[in-house]
Amino acid sequence: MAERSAAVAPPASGAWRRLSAWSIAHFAARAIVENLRAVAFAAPATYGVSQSAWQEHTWAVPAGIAAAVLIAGVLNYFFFFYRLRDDFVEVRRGVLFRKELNLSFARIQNIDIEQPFYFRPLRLVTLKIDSAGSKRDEVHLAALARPDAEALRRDILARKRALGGDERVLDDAASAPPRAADEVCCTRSLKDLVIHGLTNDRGWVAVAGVAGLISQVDLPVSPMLEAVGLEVDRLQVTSLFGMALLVVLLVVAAWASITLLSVAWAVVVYYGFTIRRSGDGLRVAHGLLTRREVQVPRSRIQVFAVKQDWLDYLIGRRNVVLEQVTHGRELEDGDWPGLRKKLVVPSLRIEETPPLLEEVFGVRRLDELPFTPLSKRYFYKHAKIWSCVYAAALVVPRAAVGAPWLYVPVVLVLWALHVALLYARWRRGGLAVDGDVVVTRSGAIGVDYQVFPAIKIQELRHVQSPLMRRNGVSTLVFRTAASRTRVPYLDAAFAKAVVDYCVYQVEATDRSWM
Amino acid sequence: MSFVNRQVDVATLPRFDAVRLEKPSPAYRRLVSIIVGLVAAPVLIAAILFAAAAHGVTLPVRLLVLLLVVAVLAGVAAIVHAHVRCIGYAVREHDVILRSGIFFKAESVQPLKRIQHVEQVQGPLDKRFGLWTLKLYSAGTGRATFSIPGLEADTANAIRRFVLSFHEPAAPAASPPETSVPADG
Repeated sequence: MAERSAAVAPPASGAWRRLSAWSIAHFAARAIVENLRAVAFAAPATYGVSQSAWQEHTWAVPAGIAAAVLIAGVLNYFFFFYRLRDDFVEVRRGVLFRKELNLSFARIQNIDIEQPFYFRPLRLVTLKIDSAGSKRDEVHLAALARPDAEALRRDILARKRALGGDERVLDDAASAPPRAADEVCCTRSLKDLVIHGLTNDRGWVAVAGVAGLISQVDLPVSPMLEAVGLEVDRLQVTSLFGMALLVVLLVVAAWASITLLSVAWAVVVYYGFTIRRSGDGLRVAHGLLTRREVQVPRSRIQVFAVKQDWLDYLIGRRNVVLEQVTHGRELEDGDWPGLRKKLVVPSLRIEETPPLLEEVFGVRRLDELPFTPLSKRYFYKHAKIWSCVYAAALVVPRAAVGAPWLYVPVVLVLWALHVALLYARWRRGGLAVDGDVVVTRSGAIGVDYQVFPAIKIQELRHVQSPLMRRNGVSTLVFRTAASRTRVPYLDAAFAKAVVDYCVYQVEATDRSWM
Repeated sequence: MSFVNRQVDVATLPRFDAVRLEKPSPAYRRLVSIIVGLVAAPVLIAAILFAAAAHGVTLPVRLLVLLLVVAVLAGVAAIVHAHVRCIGYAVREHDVILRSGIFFKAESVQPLKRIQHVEQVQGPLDKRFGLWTLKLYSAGTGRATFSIPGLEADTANAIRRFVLSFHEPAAPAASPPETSVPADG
């Protein structure tokens, strides 16, 4: 308790402080996560060693690993100190190599509260302080009591504000008590999450991960199958029908288990998804095991992206991604690109999109906007190119194909489907400017949108080939701090007017993009 | 709150494609020629040696190979020079415009307001010609997408100073560019 209350007291030139002892769990968990790959590689080797050398003591290896993790946790806890100074957070850590980190309040971007499952029963949270720099400059203060963490967050934000940093970068949590103004503006039910799991097959990601692990370890497959009562040698498939049935069964079983994994993933990650309005910002919370709470100032959202694949399209759902600033550098840190800075709102109904859009950018219209279409030449060009490819495929390797009578119709059907998709993509493409908000539309079956206020644009590009110039069309590329959007084959006069208008919006208004 | 929402007459807005484009320094073309020569010379020498002394290949074939290599090198040189000829830039009060591309002509507009930091780069060969490349960084790009090559020192300095000293008249509190330089510089 003493440590906890120490965390709140805001001394102007603070003394070095230690985290609560519960943070050992946090450090241990990080040690596991950071060394997961090493462990995966080392596991087969250690398994072999333990088999041959200490046949009696195979428990020694897992016990050793557990002990190492625990020791790492304890040591990291003992060597982790932090303090708040007038204008920066200072962290001292590292057992063998001392690391000191100064994170100035001016550079703080986000302060998130996260509750991993092992802190859930203790009602403790981890405060994550995020800088504009790379992932390495992140500060995690683990095992704080929730009120303390919130007080600390308010305190840091207040200091940042007092420093006179760009106020628009800040959320308002510093001034308003966080719970008072909270108003839920978007939630996802369990049903929505199940749908999300079904339509966004993330199961493949899990399978890929597991397969990667398995390929490292030489698993004794047939003994395992025998253990569940299947004897591989006895499986004598004689008829073609039996073989086909077996294959179908295996595929269905694989698909079903992957889909189940995917649904489980969606529920675990997005359980209890809520977006609350809190003054200037949105507070997004989700997670079954590890509860994440992210506070995003509205002004920091760069792009409102709507993504819908064909399955979503069939059942009338769409995913919304609120994109924030991405740093080119983050990708080098072995991070998954864009995984951290993007806020996904899973499987929204079509009619739920406009209110959310209004919440974020203050405009409502999306589907009913009058989109300026792409030039028909866009479709012609791609149709011509692909038709040539298919024609070549028809002519050239016909002799080499086993069943020539089947080959021609198959190629023709594929060609027709492909051209139909190209046509759909051309029909779908479009650009609309709604007041000071730019909306681009794309996609072949599902409808994708990128919505961003013109003032968020960082750079604009207008591209024309000689042929395009003669035909009076041009391609526009919008770059915001979050992403790049390309709209091909627009009417050149319109495209140029859009460039001039967007440049005017950026340069003539003093609204900040952050 | 005095909120106004005047209609914008798009037709009277300044047009980005109406600017007069400046060209990189003439020395830049010479520099590029030298670089092309440095790369091409070994290839050419190898081809000549092959034509002169390759055993087991008939003379017409050797000459054909030599001719082919010369043609390819000439083609590459022509493309590189066309690329250099196509580069043009313009500095407006509120933005920098860069035009590039031989076949696909691209015009990029970089508002000064969005520039995070500026880098002035000079390679060893640039140094002999007194040339600089100016790179403008805005948020969200790890690498510069916007770089103007072949600038003389005075021009480069002038543009850099102009870009860095830019602050919008409407918002005096705008942070100076130095404070928002990302750590990766």
